[in-house]
Amino acid sequence: MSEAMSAESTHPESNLPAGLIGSVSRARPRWDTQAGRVIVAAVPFVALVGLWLLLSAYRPAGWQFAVPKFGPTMDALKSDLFVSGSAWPAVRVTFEEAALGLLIAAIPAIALAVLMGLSPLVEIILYPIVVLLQAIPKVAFAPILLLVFGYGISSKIALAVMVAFFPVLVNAVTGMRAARLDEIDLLRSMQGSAWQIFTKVRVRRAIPSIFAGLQVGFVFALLGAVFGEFVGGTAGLGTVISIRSAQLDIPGVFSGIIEISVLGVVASLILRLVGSRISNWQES
Amino acid sequence: MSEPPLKTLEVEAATSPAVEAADGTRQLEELKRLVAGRRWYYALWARIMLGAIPLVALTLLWLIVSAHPPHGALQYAAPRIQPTLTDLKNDIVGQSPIVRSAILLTLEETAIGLVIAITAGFLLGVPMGLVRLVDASLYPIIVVLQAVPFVAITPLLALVFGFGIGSKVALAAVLSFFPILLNVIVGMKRIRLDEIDLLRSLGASRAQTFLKLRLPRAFGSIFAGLQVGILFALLGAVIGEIVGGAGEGNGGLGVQLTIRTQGLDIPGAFSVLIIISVMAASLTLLVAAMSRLLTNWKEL
Repeated sequence: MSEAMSAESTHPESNLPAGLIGSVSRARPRWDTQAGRVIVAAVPFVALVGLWLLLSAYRPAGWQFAVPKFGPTMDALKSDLFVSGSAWPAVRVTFEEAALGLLIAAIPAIALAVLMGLSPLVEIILYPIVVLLQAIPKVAFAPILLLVFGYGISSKIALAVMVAFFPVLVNAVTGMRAARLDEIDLLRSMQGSAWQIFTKVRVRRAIPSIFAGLQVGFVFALLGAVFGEFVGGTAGLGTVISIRSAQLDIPGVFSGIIEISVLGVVASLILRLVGSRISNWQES
Repeated sequence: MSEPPLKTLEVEAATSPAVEAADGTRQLEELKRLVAGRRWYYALWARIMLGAIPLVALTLLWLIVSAHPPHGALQYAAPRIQPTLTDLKNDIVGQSPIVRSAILLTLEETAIGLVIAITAGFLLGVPMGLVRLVDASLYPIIVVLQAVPFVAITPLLALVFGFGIGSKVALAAVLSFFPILLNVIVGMKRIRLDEIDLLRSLGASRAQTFLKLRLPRAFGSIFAGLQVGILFALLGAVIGEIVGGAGEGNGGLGVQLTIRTQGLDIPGAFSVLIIISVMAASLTLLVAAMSRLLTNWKEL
């Protein structure tokens, strides 16, 4: 905030000669209204669907795997979701794997971040290994996890835990650092205890970052779950996509990809909403 | 909150939570530097020793588990230390060149994928950082696409690009594209109005403002994106190899990993896992070192 303030306060517009104002301050463009923003943001979505329809109608030779026909894909989606409803059990399995993975990863990750935030000694001990382990592509452990946990749901949960742990941890650590010194000083000067400083300043400041971490973590957990199913699964959207792709059922594959994309986007949105709700509530 | 009459991209960027958090971090770092003289564990030697504790502990744990291997399925997670290190040595300097060529292949896929992602990230990120209309138009769809688990298209990529290097490169490019793009956008916005005004008042052209102000200022953020992006590219290459297998030849590290795991050659599999991990760590360190070399002059 302070940086923004200073950036603005260096522009005492009223003190500048009239000619200079036009050159330094860019007025809000005409499209920049709430409705205008929505329309502008909708353009790429519409363009994408338009492009798909166009390519579906005039498909170049050799593109049959890259671009499925629009109609059959919608039919496959309709069948998956409504007619046969076969997608729902698969969505449920994949969602369960990702959600459980995120949950199991998030609890120790946030606890560890709090410890690192409270004690500089703990942070100095753990930071190097966190950076190192974070860099390792955890998905490479998928074949081993399959041997250890079997072809069922637990090997996918294990992979989801491994890939979701570090994004949650790193974001929570960032969050624990987000408290500002002047806020802490203010509470100290008012005889605030260490516990009060922790709950009223540090945790409150950390919440947006923690939820950002959970959001990224869920996308990662979903990646882990789907990849785990590709490597060796018996159920879930990854298995469905894998089987259909082996059968060259391209509309079916795209239907599965659309389903899993919606799952990722909706879960992300929910986590974002909850996060902003909590931080707003704390703000007041 | 009433909307300020004049709002600019730069001010928006400066008030973003990320920048605010960075401000807080900077403050805490300053505090730490102040107390650094008083607490023993802030000394460099202490930091190195303390940071090594978890590594030593993990190694000890492996030695203990290796001496008393668990039974049942858990044995696959706990390879004996001696054969693993022997396999590792053979893979790196031994007779058979299979793993060495796998390392090169995986690196090649990672590198090509990363270059494609960087090119696309700049082509999209620079206009988004410079032109508000482009930013307002594309940012929402990018936020949505970011939540899509693109790994789901892996089987499709094998059909489109074949089982050779193409499908692995494509996945590496797709996975590393978003972290790079987002960091290019953030970097492009990381300038202050008064700096732009100074350059304008000196008669700088748009191109000069871009080259002398925006781009150097963006370096820090772009390299942060590259550091994440290079790991995602490696991730994409390995995932592509595990799902798609080898087209012809012996394939990359992911293929070797699958073959060894399926043959229940656990020390061999862990040798490949160690190689992949060391590769990932070295690639991040490489980008970090490049970032230091190229950006230390712009510190304020």
